[in-house]
Amino acid sequence: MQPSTWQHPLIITNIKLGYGGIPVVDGFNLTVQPGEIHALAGENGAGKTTVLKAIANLIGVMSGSIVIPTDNRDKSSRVGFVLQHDVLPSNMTLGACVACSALAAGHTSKSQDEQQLLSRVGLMVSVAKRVSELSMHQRQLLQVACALASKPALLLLDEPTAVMSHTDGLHFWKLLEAEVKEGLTVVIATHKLEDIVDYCSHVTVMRSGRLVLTRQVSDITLEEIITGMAPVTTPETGAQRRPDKLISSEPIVKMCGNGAQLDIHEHEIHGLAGLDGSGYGRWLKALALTCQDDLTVTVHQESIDTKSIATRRDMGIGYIPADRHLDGMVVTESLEYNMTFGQLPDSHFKQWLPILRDSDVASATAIIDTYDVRPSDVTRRLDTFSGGNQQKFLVGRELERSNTVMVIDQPTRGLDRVASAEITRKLHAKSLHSQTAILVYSDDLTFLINTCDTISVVSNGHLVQTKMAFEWTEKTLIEAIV
Amino acid sequence: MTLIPWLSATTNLGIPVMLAATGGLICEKSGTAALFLEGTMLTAAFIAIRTGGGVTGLICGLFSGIAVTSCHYLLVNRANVKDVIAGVGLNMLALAATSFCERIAPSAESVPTLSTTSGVLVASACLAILIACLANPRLRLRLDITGESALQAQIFGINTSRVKLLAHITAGAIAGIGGALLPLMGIGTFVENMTNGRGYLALAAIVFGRWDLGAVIAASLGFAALDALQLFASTQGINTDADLLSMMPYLAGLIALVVRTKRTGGPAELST
Amino acid sequence: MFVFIGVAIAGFVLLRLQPDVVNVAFGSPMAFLRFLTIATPLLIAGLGVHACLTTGRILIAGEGIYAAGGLTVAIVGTSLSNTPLGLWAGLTLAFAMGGCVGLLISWLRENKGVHEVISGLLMNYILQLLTRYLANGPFRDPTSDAPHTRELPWTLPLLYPGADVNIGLVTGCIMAVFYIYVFHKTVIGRYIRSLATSDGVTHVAGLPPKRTRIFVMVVSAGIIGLAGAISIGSAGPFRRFPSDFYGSGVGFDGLIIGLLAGPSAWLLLPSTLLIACLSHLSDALSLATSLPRQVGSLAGALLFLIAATLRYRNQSRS
Repeated sequence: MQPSTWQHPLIITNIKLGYGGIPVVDGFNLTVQPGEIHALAGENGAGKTTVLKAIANLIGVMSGSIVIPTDNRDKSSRVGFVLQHDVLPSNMTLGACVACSALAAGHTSKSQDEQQLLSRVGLMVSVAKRVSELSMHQRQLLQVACALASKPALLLLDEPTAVMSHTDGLHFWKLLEAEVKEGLTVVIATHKLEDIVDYCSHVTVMRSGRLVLTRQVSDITLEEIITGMAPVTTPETGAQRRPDKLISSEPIVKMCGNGAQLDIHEHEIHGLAGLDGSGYGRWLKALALTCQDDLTVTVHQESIDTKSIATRRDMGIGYIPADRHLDGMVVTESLEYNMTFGQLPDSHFKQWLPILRDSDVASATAIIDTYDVRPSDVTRRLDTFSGGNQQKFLVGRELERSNTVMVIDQPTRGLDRVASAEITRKLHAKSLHSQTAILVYSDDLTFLINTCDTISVVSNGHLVQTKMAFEWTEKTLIEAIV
Repeated sequence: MTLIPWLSATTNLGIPVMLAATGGLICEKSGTAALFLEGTMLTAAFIAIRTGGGVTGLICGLFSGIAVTSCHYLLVNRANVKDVIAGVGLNMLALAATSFCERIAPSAESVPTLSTTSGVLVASACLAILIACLANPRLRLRLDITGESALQAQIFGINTSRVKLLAHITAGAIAGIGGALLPLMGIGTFVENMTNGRGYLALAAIVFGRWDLGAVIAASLGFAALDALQLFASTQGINTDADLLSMMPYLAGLIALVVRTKRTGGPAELST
Repeated sequence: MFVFIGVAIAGFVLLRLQPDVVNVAFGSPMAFLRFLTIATPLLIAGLGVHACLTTGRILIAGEGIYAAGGLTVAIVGTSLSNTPLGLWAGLTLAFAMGGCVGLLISWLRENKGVHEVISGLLMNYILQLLTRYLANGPFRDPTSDAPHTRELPWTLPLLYPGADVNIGLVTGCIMAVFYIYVFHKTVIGRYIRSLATSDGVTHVAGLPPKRTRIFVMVVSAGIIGLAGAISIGSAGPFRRFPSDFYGSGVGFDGLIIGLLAGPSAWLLLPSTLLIACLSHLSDALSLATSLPRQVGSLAGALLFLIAATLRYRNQSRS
């Protein structure tokens, strides 16, 4: 697939971008030359996604300018965009999606071209399949295929490898490099700093909506990139120093499924690792939410399979969901308002008593101080906070409750290394000082190894291997997952 | 007992409902709920009679339908009103406005009408044009993806506002023709609340037909057949309460919605 | 707020142009009490609609439920005319009748995915025709030429002798206060209100979202049925259910009130007073001038669209 090539660079001059009149990016400049693989790096809330959306013309510019070279066609058809969280039409077929992208850009599309393109991006699936039948990483590849179908001159990618395995990631970068050789220009926002060093030609570091530096990758080190992202606090890299703690011999949580058993003891942080679609979610749901087929769960020797969600909460089984916007909070309300959610009062009668606002304000203030949620205003609406700060608040709200068991799904989603390290410290403190048994899933394998005492790998719905965390390395974990 | 009067009544009632349903289907396919069908039909019926009936009335009915759906488009896409609320509001406004005008200055008692054959020809022409448009992959895919994921359509570079506007105009034109045909193929005058819920029956036909053109046409004719029962019974001297018979199509519509388990085929952007 | 200011200006202009209208509407204590009689069912209907709107559901079958409730109390009240239980049985069953309709609509929505607006609108037509058939047929007053049910042997306790204003007004006010308290000051209220945007928050906490929505709609529809019963059970020369009772506009006015009040329940009372004023003034207008009563419906429809535009203006479609 031959994209057209530019002769002139993409130039962003002094732009101000925002949502609802509130600026999140200000005074940002960027020049991307044709043929570059240009990385955007920055911690949560830095403004990377906002910049990409502005280039793709999905949001307006408050001031400044973005100049995208065109070749006499509408500029939006020359820019492909791969979102971090896709919005693909679930009911349409893969072929229809690819055809739609091609036709919208003014190209023709035949069924065999569509199938060929899917194979090229690594999606070995029929064009007649529906989008709803794909796994998360397959949907990501479909996004890439659709973007390439429009023969763009510029491809924008927002964390494309976040849900990809190591092998898929390698294939993805190979594809990207091949396309760039044929004239494509790429701007990619990514947290994976190793990928920036290995594959990108240039890097721009952003912090709090402003430009920090732009350099050629060959002229900068990993440490300098990290420093540019967060100069005040140096994140701890590598394995965390873990305080000593006793793990009792009798597990308080026993989960049995398909011949395998997963035990979680008091004070233990038990990690789950697995690809998207591996079935790890069933293990989390079986403990936190509802009974799953072929899985039985006991807590303190009592079966909870028939217990409702409300009863599980009353028993002290807490839950931090992966999707904070849908399941965790009401983002149109303030922080102190959101203290109400997560768990119902222990007595039915208390649900009907007046809410004590002072108590909520005090609790919310304690959380934002402890978890460094910025800005520190409990009366502000949640949707005015960055995704990372929202996540910190959600994790803080649940960890501060006294629970017997905690089930945590993707606690560091959207968090940078500094914030992730902080979550690790909080989880360690929780497991050390209380008797809480913690089951946590994360696709960040470094986080799992640094945080957990034990890690189990889930594949095809089955628990395939369980070892102590210090017995795992990232490489062996990846091998077990794949 | 001959069934011809029933078939004739079914045709005269079925064509307006069927046209409203197919017009509404296009709008629903673009991701906007077509609650406005009732008000569109009523307004078109009113305008068709007030402009003298016949072919002139039919054309004026078409344009009045477009006017109503254009208002709906502006409310939903510019003023961010929920589509179901905008549809209900426009229906209320159409009913109030037409009733008010009827009270101030009643419509003519009889205007030139159209024969059943003419009505069938007009409906067939509308359907043929619609099918030809939907056969074009460029138009069809733009409509589908706007209704399934407007944001993805924007990412592809599709102007979703334009797609929705065209869908609204198409819906208004076809439903307007349907509304105009209601009096023009019937009694030749306008009475208050003439549509009496047939727009909602058209909507029920869309849902029951799972947004498939052929099934929607069949469903709307089915509801019309029940609607015609009451007229048929009175001509045959069958002694059944008119209210109970009149209830049948609405009851059938509700049962049809109940029977259809799990909404499949509905565009994802649709709020209904 | 702009709506209230706009309507106040329109009211002022009306006063200047047609002083007779305002005199007829509010010029005497009985006229004012008549206004309160109109406001009573509107307050209750508005309450029901607003409660459903906070869970993200639109209760549009209010018109039909209101009629069904009125017919229920007429039938039960006249059937149990020899016992004092007739009043309470009638009101309870009117509530239950409304609740059943709400249960059907809500169940269809939560379990079958049938949108409550479509099923609600169809239910309106079904209930209109059914109540008309029953009042004109099996339950028609055999002693009268006009199509209505037999006269009720009792009335609801009056607040002012000689006027129709009855205990229903007090009931409505108490309901409004309780509603504001529950929905704005309690934990359960916050969870219910979160349903407007997403099920996840309640689901994760252990409060079943579907069951909660069904519960809210059942109670909301029940109180609208009760409003219909209160309307029929009020004092006056005709404590009967006429076959053309459907079409009073209370259901749709309730929808306007619910929308006008916005996300906050505090504006329910001023919204009710505004719509009641509109209804009362349009009656007076038709008496004082040659304009038909439909001018009130026209104004109501415009107000509905304005209220809807203002309510959803700042909410972007997800």
